Amino acid sequence: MLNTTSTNLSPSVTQTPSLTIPTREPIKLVVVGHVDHGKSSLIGRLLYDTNSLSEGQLEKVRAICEEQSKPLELAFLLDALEAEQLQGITIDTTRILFHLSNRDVWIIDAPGHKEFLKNMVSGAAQADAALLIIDALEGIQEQSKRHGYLLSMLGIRDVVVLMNKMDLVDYRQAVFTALEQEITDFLAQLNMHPKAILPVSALTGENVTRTSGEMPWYSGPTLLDILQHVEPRRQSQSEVLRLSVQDVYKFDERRIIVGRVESGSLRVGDTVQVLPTGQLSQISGFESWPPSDEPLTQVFAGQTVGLQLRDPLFVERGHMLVHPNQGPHPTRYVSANIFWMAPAPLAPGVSYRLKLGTQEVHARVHRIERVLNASSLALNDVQDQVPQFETAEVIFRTEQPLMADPFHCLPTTGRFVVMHNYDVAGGGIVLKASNELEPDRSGEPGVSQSLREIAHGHKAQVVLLEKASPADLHTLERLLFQAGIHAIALADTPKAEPVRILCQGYLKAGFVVLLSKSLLPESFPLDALDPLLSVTSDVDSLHTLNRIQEAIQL
Amino acid sequence: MPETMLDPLTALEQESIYIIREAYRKIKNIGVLWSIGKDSTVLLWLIRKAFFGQVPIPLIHIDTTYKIPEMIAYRDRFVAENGLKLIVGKNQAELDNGMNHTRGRLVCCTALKTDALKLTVEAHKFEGIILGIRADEEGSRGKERIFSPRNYQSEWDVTEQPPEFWDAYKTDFPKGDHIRIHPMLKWTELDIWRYIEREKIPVIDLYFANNDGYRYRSLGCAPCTAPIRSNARTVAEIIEELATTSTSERAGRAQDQDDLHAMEKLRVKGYM
Repeated sequence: MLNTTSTNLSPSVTQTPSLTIPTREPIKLVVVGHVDHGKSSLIGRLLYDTNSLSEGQLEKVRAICEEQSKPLELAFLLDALEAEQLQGITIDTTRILFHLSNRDVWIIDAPGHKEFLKNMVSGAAQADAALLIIDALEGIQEQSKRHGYLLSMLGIRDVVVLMNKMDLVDYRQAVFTALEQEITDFLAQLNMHPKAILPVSALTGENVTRTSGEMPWYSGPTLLDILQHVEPRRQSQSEVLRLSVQDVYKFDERRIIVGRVESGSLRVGDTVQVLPTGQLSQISGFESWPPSDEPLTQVFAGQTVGLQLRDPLFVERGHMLVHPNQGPHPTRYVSANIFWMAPAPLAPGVSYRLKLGTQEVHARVHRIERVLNASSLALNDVQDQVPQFETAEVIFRTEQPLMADPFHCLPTTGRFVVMHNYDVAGGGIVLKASNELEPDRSGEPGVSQSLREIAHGHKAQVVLLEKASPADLHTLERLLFQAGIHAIALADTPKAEPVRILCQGYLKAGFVVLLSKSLLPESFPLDALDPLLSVTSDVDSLHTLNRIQEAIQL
Repeated sequence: MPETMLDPLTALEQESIYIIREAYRKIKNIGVLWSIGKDSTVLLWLIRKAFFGQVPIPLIHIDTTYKIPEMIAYRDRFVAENGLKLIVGKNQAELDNGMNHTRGRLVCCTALKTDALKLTVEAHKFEGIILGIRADEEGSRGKERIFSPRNYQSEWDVTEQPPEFWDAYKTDFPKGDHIRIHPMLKWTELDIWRYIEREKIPVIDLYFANNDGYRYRSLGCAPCTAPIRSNARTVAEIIEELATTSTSERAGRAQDQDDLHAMEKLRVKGYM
C-alpha cells in the first residue's frame, strides 16, 4: 500500500540506519504502458540515479551503445536481449533489482506491444504495485488502457501514473492537467484510483529522482519519494483456511501429505475437512527437515507443509483441506472474468483445462456472458467467442468438481489459468463458483430435488443404521448438522407408512434422513428408498461421518 | 505465491520448495544440476527440505575436467558422505579432441558445458533439469521463466516464452522437448549468503579468503575463473563485503566478457 498522504516523505527514522543492507521486505513494482512511452528508459534512469548498477552492467551497456553508434541508452539495462537492442523494443519481461536507502525494489519491466501481452501479464501478476507510464506528447493510447484494465483484473490496486516526456511538451501544466483528468476518468470506470499522478521526464530525471526546476507548478512528491512508501500486497490477509494438496509422499513408513497454505493458518490437532470428498480428520503433526527440537505446531499462509492425518483418508493432489464447514462447495459451474492471450479465440465446444492452484479440471465454455474491449471498455453482449487480447465474462462447466472462491474474497483460490493443448491460453478471476449457475433441466414445477441438492452441496440420501438408539440417531444428526449437512433423524415414528411418506418428503427437500433398523417395523419398504446401509452403531466416530460424507458427494 | 506475512528469506525458501515439488510431481524424469557452487548447494539443501531429508532426484555434474581441483575433491567427498546419486556428464569426444579455452572461450563453453549437458540429457532421457540460476546474475537470466521450455535440441526461444503467472507453470510439452526448472530465479546473491548463514549450510572453502587475501565469488573452470581480492573469511564477512561492492558477481568469469551478448548466445544454445 502506498502512503503518500503522510507529510513525512523522507525514509522513516525508526528503521535501523543501514547503508546498503536493506532492512525491509523487498517490493515488486511493475512498469506498464503503451509501446515507446518510455518504460525501459524510466527504469534505466532509476537504476542509474540510485547507483544500483554494478560497474560491469554499466560498462556493458556503454560498449553496446558504442558498437551500435548510439548515445548511452539506459533502456538496454533492461532490454538485455540482442533482439531487443537491435529493434529498440522490449520483448520480454525483466526483473532487475534496485536499491533504495532502506529497501530493495524488484523492478519488473513489461513490454508495451500488444503482441507481447502474455509477457506483460507474466510480469504484472507478480507485482505489489504498478507504474503506468503515459507519453505526454502522444497521450493515452490503446495499451495504456488495456494495461490499466489488466492491472485491475490482476488485483493490483496500487497504481502510480507517470506522465512522461514532459520535456517534449515544454513542461506545460495544461497538457498534464488534461491527461490527468482523462486517465483518472478511465481508471475510475475500473474502480481504480491512482495513488499519485506525476509529471516526469525519464530523459532528464525530473520528478523521478529529483524535484523539477522546470515544473514549479507541481509540488507533489518525486517518484523516488513514493517508492519509499510502497508496501507489499498483503492487505487482504484472510483468516479462512485454504490448503491445496500438492502431492503425497511415502519415502518411508510415514505417509506425508504435502501442500501449501494459500490462506489462513492451521494447527496440530485441528479438525480438517478434505474437499471434494467432504471427509473429516485431524492433523496429527507437521513434518520438517532438518529435525528440530521444537517441532512445528502451526503453519501460515505462504508456507509449504508436510502433514499427517489421524485417519487414513483418501487424499490426492488437487484436493483441498479446509476447516469443517468453511470450505467452498465443490462445483461444476464457475463464472469468471477472463483475459484471452492465445491466437485461437476462446470458443464453445472446445475442450480446455482449468488450473487453479494444484487443481486441474477439464472444462468447456457453458456461456459467454459478454465480451469487453479492454481498451475502449465497449461491451459486446452477443459475441459467441473471445478473440485474442480481449476480456470477457464467461461461465465454464467443468467435468470434475472444482473448489474455488470468489477472487475478491480469497485471491489465491479465486484465480485460474485456462490451458489449451500444451499452453496457457488465458487467465481468469472467479466471480462466482456455484452449481446454482446450472440450468434446471428437470422440468419440475417449483424447485426440484436436484436443485436443492446443489444448493445444499450434497445429495439427498436415506442412511440406515443397524442398531442405533434414538439417542444415537440424534447424536449423529447433530454431528452432521455441525459439518454443514442438512440431516434429520426419524427416531420416534413406529408406523411404516408415515415414515415412508416423511422420507420421501425429506428426500425431495434435499435432506439426509437417518433411520435405525431396530426402530423400524419389519414391513417397512426399505429397498424403495435405496438406503445407505451402515453396519456400525458407533455413531459418533469420524469413520461413520466420513462414510456418509463420501456417499452424499455430488 | 499467496499473500504472506513470512519474512523475505522464508518466503523465498517456501516458494522454491513449492516449485521443486511441482517439478518432481509433474515431470517424469528429472535431474538436478549441481555445480558445487553456492547456489546449487543451497538448491540441494532446499531439495532435502522439500523431501524431508531425501534426495529423490539424481544430481548431475557437468565436468569439463578443467574445474578448480578442490571442487572435484569436495564433490566426491560430499556425495559419498551424504549417500547421493551423482551423474557426471562429460563431452568425451571433444575432450579427446583436446578442446580447451584457447580455442575460444565460447567455443569451449559450448562444447564442454552446453553440449556435455545435452549429451547427458539425451543419455538419461531427462524431461526436466532443475538449475540454481538467479535473475540478478546477468541480463539474459533476468528474462527467464521459472519453468522454461527447451526444444529437442535444448534451444531456448527467448523471444517466444510461455506466459507464466499465478504459479501456473508450464509442465506440459511435446515429446522430445525438455524443461529447465529454475526454483531460485528470484533469489539474489545476498539472499543466498544470508540463507547459508541462517541455515548453517556447508559450502566449499574456495568462497572464503585465503592467506594471500583472495577468494572466489563465483566458481567455474580454473583457466577462466579468477578470484577477487577479499579478506572475507566467514559467511558474515562475505555478507558485509557484498553490501559495499559495486563489481558484478560474474566479473571473474572470463566467458562472460568475451562478447557483449556472450551469455545470451551461450544460453540460447542450451547453456545453463
